[in-house]
Amino acid sequence: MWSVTDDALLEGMAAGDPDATEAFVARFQRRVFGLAITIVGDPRAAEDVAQEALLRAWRHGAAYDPRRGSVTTWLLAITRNLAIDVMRVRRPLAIAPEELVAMPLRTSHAEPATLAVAHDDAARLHAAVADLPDEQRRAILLAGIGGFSAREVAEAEGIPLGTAKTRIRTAMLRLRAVLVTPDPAE
Amino acid sequence: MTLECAEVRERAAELALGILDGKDRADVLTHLSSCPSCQAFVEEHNEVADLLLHLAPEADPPLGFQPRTLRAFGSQQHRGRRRMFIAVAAAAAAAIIASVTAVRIIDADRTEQAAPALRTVPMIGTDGVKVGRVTFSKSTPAALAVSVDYAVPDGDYDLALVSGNAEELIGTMTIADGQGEWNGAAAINDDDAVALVSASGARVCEAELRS
Ligand SMILES: [Zn+2]
Repeated sequence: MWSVTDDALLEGMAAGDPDATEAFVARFQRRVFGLAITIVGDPRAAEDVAQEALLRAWRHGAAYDPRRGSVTTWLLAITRNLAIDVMRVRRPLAIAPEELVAMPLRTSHAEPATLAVAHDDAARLHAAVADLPDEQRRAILLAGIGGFSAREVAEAEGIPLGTAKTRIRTAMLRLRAVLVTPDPAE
Repeated sequence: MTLECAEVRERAAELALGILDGKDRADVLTHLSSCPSCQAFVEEHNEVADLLLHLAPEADPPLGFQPRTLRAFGSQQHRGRRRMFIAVAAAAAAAIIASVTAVRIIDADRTEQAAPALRTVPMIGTDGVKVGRVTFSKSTPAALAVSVDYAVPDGDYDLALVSGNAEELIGTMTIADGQGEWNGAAAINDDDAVALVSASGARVCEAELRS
């Protein structure tokens, strides 16, 4: 089952194949739960978010468009949106920004060859995030993963709104530059 | 009203990260709809934003997560397969007053702390993206304020209250220039959802009315 591509697994799940569904959940649950708990902090709430994200993938799998990104990217975006909405409704800013910015970043490891390019990009992005000035890295992780608005970043960091916006913008420009510039090692 | 390219690019990072809200977001989207070069600029930011999520650590879910999740799929198996539209003639006029209040509160303050009797939940599209929101009151019938402002194609939609495997038509909504709003009332239960249903019968987005 592990040799099956993510796309094929999602397709099988969308078609109602129980084996594909089980394999899909098994393959993605650690990624989905990991992102959910990073954002919401609490294991129970994270489980709800992770389950809902997988449920949505199961229900809407037929609507997935591979041209717009990998299955992982699609599923993580669903997870983040759900986690952020939970945070907004239940406990605004309940997660300690310190924990979010101190999170151990995931390093890429060997995965099916179809994803090699994407993971190469993720590895480069990982290095680029690590290279950012501390205050920019904090701002981009709070905003990009935690879903903090610029105003919430400003409050969490005790800085003016304009400064928060500048940090987010500058960090994004640096990361984008790394991704659009060909890797010199290749 | 109309933004310059430079102003749009200043907001590109926040848009891509999904943290731009309200009027700012609408203004940027309006500009993007007619400016391919800003679209390309934002698209590059979107790629960064997507990849950032790949950096989150993996973590083992609690014991029994997988069987519980698969069971949850099973219990939803037939949801939405059967279409059972029941037209509701009664539109409770009294509740419309409450829904006007709801809209004013959304506009004034999205934290909604001033009105504990109101709840705002996201409207989620088929690709998991938030396309709008539904604010509802904890009254009977409930006042509903539905707004859509992102990624739903222009056109006329049925607004359905989804209750178990039944869909009840509660109104119609027109999306024009990517935006649409509907205010009204309906009797809702805790696990109900509000969905926009296209002419072909497909649910294009859905909001779960969890309190
Ligand atoms: Zn432009």
